Amino acid sequence: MARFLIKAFGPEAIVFDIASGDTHALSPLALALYSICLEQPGIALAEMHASAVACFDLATDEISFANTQDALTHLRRIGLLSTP
Amino acid sequence: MKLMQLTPVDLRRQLADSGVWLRTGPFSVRVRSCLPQVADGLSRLYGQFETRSPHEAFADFHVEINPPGLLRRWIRPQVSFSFDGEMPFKPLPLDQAYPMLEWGLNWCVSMHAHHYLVIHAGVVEKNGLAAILPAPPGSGKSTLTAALVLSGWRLLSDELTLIDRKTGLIHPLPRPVSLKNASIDLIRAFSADAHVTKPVHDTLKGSVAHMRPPRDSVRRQSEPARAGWVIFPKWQADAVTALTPRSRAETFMFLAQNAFNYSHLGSDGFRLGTAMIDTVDCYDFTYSRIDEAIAAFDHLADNIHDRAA
Repeated sequence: MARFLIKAFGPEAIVFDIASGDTHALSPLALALYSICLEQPGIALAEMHASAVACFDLATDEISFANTQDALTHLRRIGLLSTP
Repeated sequence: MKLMQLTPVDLRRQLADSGVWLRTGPFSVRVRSCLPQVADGLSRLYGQFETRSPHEAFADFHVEINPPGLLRRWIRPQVSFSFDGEMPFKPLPLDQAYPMLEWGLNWCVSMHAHHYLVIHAGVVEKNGLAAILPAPPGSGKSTLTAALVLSGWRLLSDELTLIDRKTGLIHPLPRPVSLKNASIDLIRAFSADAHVTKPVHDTLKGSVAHMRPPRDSVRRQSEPARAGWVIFPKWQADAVTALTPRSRAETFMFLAQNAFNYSHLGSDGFRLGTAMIDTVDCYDFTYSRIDEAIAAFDHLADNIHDRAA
């Protein structure tokens, strides 16, 4: 059985962790990064950042690299992504 | 029969003896008390509610509101709330007996009604759709709820939104509306139809009074409603009346954090909550004038076909 239940509301999502009973909100950036990781497992950080920026149709500097790293840290912390 | 059909003497006698059985929404409760202020409160606020013989009818909750001991009947008199013989709260001053009964009944539902997702929020209905009003204390939730139900909206509850785990529908619990501090006089002035009890002062919540639920809301207390909106009201002095769309994800997180049993229900709570959020429109609502607030809500209810969900 899957550990997580995910429900997207437009560009955001809510995640329920069946193992812990915790509920988390995913920002649009975190949801985009999570989707990218699912579609392209093993993708490099720089490519992931570029893909995320492209998702939002923004200029590269409108989502900083630090924003991407923070969102990835959040995804790892809640268990949606694991560090290789 | 209705509670109002009991004479004051019979009501007091029955309360002190076998207790008074009442139906409130999907729950039945048996209340026992020797205190005249409890009899008076029930008589003023629950007259329209169904009552039966406590010897013959099953009750979900058996509660008592009485002095904790002989000494406390005379020296700095106090009152205790008990549920199935257990006392979940510390005693309060005697003059808070009636508010304590209402708080205790809220506790009974919020701690035990796990066949519902129970959210701390007011909820009103018009034209078949319910508006859920979650908000932190002091945001004017109960005041707005009271004004809405005095203006044609149906009271489902001013404190507890009960979402049926099987159907996702909201079940009414149209008990008295708890008013605090300035909102007591505001609601009295708002409508001649408002039946508001005498305030009890110096409670933990300040001055507290209760408004009788409208007769039609009590009559329709077995009629559930579909959720239409989740609206976060906030009263602000001089604020312009404004409904602003709000993130569904944020709204869900707030509701989950303000549900009494979301964690208890596990993945069922998540599925139920997200399914509900999928079908509603979510707004922040600021207001300073109650008449404008009512007009804004009426506009929503009268334009159901314009809903985004």
